[in-house]
Amino acid sequence: MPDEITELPVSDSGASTDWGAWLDANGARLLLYARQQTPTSADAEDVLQDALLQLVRTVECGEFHGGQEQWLAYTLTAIRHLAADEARRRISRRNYEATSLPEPMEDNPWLRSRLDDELHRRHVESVLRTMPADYVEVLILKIWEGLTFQQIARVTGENMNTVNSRYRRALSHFRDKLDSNPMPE
Amino acid sequence: MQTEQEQRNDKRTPAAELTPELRNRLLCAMLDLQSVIQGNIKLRHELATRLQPQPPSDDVLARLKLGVLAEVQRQRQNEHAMRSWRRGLAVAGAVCAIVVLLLAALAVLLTAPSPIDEDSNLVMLAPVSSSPYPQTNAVAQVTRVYAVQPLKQKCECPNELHQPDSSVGLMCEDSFRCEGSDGSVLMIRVPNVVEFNMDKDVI
Repeated sequence: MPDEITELPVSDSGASTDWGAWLDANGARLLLYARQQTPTSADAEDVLQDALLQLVRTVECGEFHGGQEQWLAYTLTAIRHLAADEARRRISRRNYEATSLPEPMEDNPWLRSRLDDELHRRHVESVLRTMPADYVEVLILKIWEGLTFQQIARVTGENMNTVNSRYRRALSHFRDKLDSNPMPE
Repeated sequence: MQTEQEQRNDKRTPAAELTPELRNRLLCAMLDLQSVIQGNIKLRHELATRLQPQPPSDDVLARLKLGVLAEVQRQRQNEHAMRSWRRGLAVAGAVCAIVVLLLAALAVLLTAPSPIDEDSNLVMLAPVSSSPYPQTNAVAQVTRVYAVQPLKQKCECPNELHQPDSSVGLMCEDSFRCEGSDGSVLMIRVPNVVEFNMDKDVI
């Protein structure tokens, strides 16, 4: 079935719409950011789905400015906005407490590693999950999404200098936390 | 006169005036900064290489792809439907325009005055095939009477010296007299043609 899915037609504008291959290459990175932005894995998948549909609509309508290399930053921005909307809806429904409890780390892991590095992964991930959300966000966007500070600034809607200094503070905070919480044996 | 830039430069402390202590502190700060930057780069590299984002399961990936595919196809269908709708609308518009033109032409033809209608004070007596007498089918006020000769009746204008030509239709100005196929005679007076009544007008 996935083979059939990747054979998507080419849009009228002639732009490449090889969504299948693009999703294969970027799905994990997109889902990581969605997981960081939402409390549960189900929410993350829903938000990612909606963000992808937003991208598809924009590209298919010919309203997308830029090539396929811009899709990642666009989708990350969409994920951020959709997650924020979803959080607001949850609060307005007054059942925030009931639905927003984060899943246990092992039910919704953000990262993966080689088997012999599993302890390190757990350690890093447990530290990340206790850090302020804006620190974790900038770390994920820089380290695992591979965005430039300019792109991160566009995604988060912040000033580039703010993003830069936040990244440095986040790394420093992260290193301190790693040092103060030694890896479990 | 000094420019602003030159004035700013003058306010800076020349490097030669740095005290050894200050110079050492600056050097240490730079080394610290360099060490922090290098540490950050190392940490980032280590994190990026040892840990990767958890990939979505096959089910999730398939669902995402299906969602995208469905959206692409839905969008294409919408565009196709929109194009078809526009095309259909154009065809319907053209058909409507043709129908309207035809109706207008028909209306013009139907309302065009016939040779016998040229006078606006026209009263037409339509030919009657079954009745032996002409019946009124009046259409206007009467000051003058023109009548179409009934098919099976022989009509004349009794008060006119010169009988008008009845090849097209008999036209009487005052009254006319018709003889039915059974030999009965019908007199029709001009002012009463519109309210023609068989009993009253028969003399």
